[in-house]
Amino acid sequence: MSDKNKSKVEKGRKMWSDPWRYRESFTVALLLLATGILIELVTPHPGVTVPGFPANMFTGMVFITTLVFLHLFYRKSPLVKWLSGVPAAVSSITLFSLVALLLGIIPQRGGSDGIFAAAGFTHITNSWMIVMAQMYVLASLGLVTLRRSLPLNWKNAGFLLNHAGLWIVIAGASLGTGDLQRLKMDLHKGETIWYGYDAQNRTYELPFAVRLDNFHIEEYPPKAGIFDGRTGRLADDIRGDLPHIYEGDEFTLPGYRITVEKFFPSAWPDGEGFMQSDETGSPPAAKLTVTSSGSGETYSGWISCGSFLISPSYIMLGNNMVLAMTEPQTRRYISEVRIYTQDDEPEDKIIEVNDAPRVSGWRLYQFSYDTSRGKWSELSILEIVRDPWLPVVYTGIFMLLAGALYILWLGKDIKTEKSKE
Amino acid sequence: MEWTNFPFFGVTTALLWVMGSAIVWFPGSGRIKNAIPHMLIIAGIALFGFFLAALWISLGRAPMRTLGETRLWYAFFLGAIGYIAYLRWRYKWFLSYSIMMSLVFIIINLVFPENFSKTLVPALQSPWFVPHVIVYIFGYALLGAATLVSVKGLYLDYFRTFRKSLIALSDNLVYLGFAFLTLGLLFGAIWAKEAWGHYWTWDPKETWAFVTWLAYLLYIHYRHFHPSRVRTPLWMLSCAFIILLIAWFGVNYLPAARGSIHVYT
Repeated sequence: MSDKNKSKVEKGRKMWSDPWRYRESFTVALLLLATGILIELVTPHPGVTVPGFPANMFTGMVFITTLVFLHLFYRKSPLVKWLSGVPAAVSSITLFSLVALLLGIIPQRGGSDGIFAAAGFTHITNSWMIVMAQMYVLASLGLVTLRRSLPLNWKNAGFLLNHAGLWIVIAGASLGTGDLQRLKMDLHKGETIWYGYDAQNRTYELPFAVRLDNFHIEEYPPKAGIFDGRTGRLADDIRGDLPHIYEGDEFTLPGYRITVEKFFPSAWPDGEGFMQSDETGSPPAAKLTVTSSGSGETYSGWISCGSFLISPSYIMLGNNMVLAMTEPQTRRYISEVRIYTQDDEPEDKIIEVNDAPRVSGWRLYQFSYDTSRGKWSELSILEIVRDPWLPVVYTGIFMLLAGALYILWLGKDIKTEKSKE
Repeated sequence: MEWTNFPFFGVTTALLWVMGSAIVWFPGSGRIKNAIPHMLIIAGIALFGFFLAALWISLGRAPMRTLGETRLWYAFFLGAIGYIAYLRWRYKWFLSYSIMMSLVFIIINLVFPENFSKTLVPALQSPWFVPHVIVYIFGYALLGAATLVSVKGLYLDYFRTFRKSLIALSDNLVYLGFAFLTLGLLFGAIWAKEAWGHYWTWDPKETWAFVTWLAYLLYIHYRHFHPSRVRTPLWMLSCAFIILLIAWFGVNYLPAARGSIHVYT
């Protein structure tokens, strides 16, 4: 990249003489990357631990104050001019891209050994590499934002929204990790729990308690398909989606015409067939009539996908092929809970995916359940998240959203306006 | 409307578009000759749009979940954007390129029909799902179009017949496409906060989407500050699109993506 950027003027110029251009900027970027790797190698503890409140806020304030100070009193100095200039911007974005690219290519698993891991490549998200890249971006982006934001007027509104917005998002998200808490809560039916545990299994007492009253799973109707009885694989000639099983419905699968005589969403084996049942472990079952389109032969039987108590039932079709029911897919996971807080009356809430209630500064997410018991699980696992820096990050996100709408609205106009300067 | 109806709609749309974009090149003018391509292409857009709408209604959910479904939208928007760009700038080659690219996606979907399931897992049952995917597909289609411009630009540059107006077109497409990418990325972040507890977890898909965003950010800044340079930004645009393609479906095959929430089939 730096080769292509060398203009003719630059070729005759001595390295590190003012003003710094692309050559120096990319060298700085590489030095920062090397420094990040070096710190990882030298320090015994892998990665960076962002301090919690108030140290993270203090760090942010010092950073902002330094930028403002540099902007106010050293605006004309070569260093500040360079850092708020184009080559620094381009090289810092490139460095950030490079680190993110490594993150996208190298599988990240913490705790692995070797020089590669020691240098930080297997925990890039909290490595000194990414810290260096972010500091470079924040310094360059921060100074250019300060320089271009004054005088404040409508003409640079789009610029300000996009640049300040991005600065706030990156700074807020990075410093916020110091106060971000993500815990799990295991709720057994009927028990009241007031603590959560983290990835290292350390427990934390919470300002609220949760009792699981009920956990259930809503399902889509199961589907029917033809499978190879030996391998369990779907027949090769089936194209497109498998048909859902509804009572009274008719559908075709390659070579067969099928009628659904009976369908029980929840059934128990009864002699040759099944009967409606609400027992724990009752799988769905369907009585089908199958007509072979080749021979015209008709036969009927029951199919069921089975459950943790009942084994599956199939209809044999010959040639090792079987007509079987797939396990129904989940429509909703629902935890009905009662929440106790220190100040308020107990409150009944429903927690499901994409619907996480807020309690005392925490958000409660449906995370998992006892998968071996499926929809008869008596355990619901919640993920609970506290992120006091969220309003900061969302401020930046909404500025960026507004900035994107500004670009959509003006499109080329910004460009022509900018290039006039 | 079902996936089994796609061959009729796909092939008919393809034929209308191919005829329309071919007639544009025929010599001669006159009101009828000028009107025919417009009529054919608009008919194709309407037909494909009808198929998408009917599929949406019959599935009972937005057909935006599987790669095959996103290819449908890509094919549709490539055709539509190619036509709108043709209306605006009168580039015949751009219309033909966009339609050719759109045909590639139609053909892939004809040869490899996928499971078009009615079921939607709970995490996707969110008001953010449709806007997240629509703005991304729009962004991808615009940036795909910008890439066509860059390839044409590099070709012309090689034969030293490059014109400045060409890169102005790619700038426009990138600005609009980039704005859509930004919206998609941020809608995704807000949705992630609602569904998975955090707005950013460096999931491989997120990481690659972010790198894609940075790559176009780089192009925009480079173009802005060096308006007279041409070859470097054209190459940047082509490279950025390769990253975009990895973010779009290459991620599924990367070792780093094992366990990603975004790997769909």
